[in-house]
Amino acid sequence: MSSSLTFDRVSRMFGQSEVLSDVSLTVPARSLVALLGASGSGKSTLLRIASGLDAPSSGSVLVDGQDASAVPAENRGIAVVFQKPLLFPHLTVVDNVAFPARMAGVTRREARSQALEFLDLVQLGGFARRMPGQLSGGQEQRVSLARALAAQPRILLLDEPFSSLDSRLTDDMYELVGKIRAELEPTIVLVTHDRREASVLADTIAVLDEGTILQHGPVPELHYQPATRAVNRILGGLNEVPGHAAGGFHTSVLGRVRVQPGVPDGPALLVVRQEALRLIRNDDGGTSSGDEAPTGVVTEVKSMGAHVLVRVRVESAPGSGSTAVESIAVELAGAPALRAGDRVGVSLAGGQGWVVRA
Amino acid sequence: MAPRARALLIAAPAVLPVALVLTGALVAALLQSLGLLPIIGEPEFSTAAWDADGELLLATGISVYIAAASTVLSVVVGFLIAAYVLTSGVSSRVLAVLSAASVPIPHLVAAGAMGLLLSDAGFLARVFGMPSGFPGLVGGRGWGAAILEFGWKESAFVALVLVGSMARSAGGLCEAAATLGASAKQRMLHVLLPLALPALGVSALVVFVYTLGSYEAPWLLGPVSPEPLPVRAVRLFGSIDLTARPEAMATALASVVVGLAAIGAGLLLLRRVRGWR
Ligand SMILES: Nc1ncnc2c1ncn2[C@@H]1O[C@H](COP(=O)(O)OP(=O)(O)O)[C@@H](O)[C@H]1O
Ligand SMILES: [Mg+2]
Repeated sequence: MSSSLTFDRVSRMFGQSEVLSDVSLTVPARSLVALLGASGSGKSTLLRIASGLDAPSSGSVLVDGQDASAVPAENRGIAVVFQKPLLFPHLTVVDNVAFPARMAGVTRREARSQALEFLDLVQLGGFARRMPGQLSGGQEQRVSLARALAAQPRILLLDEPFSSLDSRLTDDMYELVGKIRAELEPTIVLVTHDRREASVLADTIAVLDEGTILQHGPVPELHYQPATRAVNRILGGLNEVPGHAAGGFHTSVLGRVRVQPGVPDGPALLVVRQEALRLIRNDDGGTSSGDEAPTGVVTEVKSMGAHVLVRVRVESAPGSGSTAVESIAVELAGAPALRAGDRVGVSLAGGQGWVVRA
Repeated sequence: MAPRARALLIAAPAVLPVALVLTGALVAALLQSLGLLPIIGEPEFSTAAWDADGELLLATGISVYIAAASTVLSVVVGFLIAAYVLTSGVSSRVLAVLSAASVPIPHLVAAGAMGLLLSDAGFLARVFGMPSGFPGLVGGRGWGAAILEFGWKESAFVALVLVGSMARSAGGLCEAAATLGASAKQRMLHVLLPLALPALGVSALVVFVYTLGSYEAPWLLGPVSPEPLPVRAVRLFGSIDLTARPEAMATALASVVVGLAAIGAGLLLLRRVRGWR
């Protein structure tokens, strides 16, 4: 029952401002694609166009390769869970979930018994007879999800459905999404501004910025091989080290690093995830061979809970002919005994780098 | 002092005079209708004004009919207007125009316009060129023109109340319903209508009580006889025959009684509808 969803050069103007421009994206059947972007980047607009609640100014939406432009929202078989639960206030929880079946002409009795199964799926079977006003925010959102699933959609669109929930509840919801995917295998587009949420749930992430898709790919690719600086920043990358690319190597304060093939010679930014860097304590005063890790001075140690973020001022290796100084961020597990002023070496795990255009 | 008592005390200067005048007037009217407060002569208890050969009962029936028909018409039309405004994305400016166009027009003027439009020598009859076959809306036994006049004016009022009460919730819920497979008609019946019910009930009550006591439209647009309550009350009250005064009071009180009964029944019903709000 799952279908693929394709946006083909979709644009949307509101008056003079172009909120979406030439968005092309394919969501394969049964996959989960996260649409990641800052607030106002056009994510909700794209979902509204997919669901038929809004129409593109140009371009088209294809479901299983068929143009859906002429199909009204109620016949598209695309269900949406909105940021707000939008439960019908005059119906009990079970009747809210039974609503899609009732609209399709199923008897009340039959619709309710189906609804109860979906309520059980979201673990709210015991709340069937309550009114929506008597639920907590997380419960309302789960009912909303059950109601969308009860419509047996070919495609499920989730528009920041968990953004108002606390972190423990969101973890429960992530588990629920996993369970739903295992049991019902719907095609899902998840809109979120939270890169952690996107990374946890999605097969692939599409990064939307100011109405254009910057990059669409598997989760590790987005993190370690971003197409542009903007993608790196949106995915939380903190290090863009300026330097020079030549002959497959990038030279900067971090030294000479082998980079991806096909990089043209010239100025380039080395992108290194803060999680991919290690710090080496130079307790012995730094006496070693020429092929040594670059060193620097710790300027800041910031707690991030179970991790710490360390900022290091790294200078060019002596004798390299450069006087560049860069602040490099390194994220470390545990609680290392580091203080501002400590001298450390910075090492790049794996020794392989990734550059983007400066 | 308990907060409740305090609130009552604060409201008292506003409420007391109104309550006094209202009760005073009602009691005086009651006494007069029973012959106990005659303008001339000795007080003498009599219920004659309350039977008057069944005329009072007939007038009450007519008034209830006009009010009920006008209420149904305005509620249905008002709901349709509101549903259209709320779902078609028409801006609130259109609604402002709509309400500005009809709400401030006095009923007397509206009734006059209706008369010109609908009478059997009126505008529509001439446009359609059927002076003989044109339905007797003005002055006819069905009070058609009066009901249309009330329906026109009050449906704008109903629409205004409904849009105001649902503007925030209706759009999102209708969109959610659409993505769940509800057709436009189903969204109207299964989402908008239940959502509108409390406000619809209150405005229906207001329209019913208002049209029950409204004088101009039935007076201008209805037949000379029989008469609904307000027309009868005004005629008897203005009569040079001073003995008609008890009947005028009984007629006025009858509309008060029907109005109060409607409000009581309406509020009871609304309490049940309101449960989920
Ligand atoms: N109906 C509309 N009319 C005018 N502008 C709109 C409308 N809907 C959205 N926008 C604009 O489009 C941009 C993207 O909105 P939206 O898709 O809701 O962003 P996101 O969901 O990514 O936060 C915003 O700048 C918003 O102001
Ligand atoms: Mg949004």
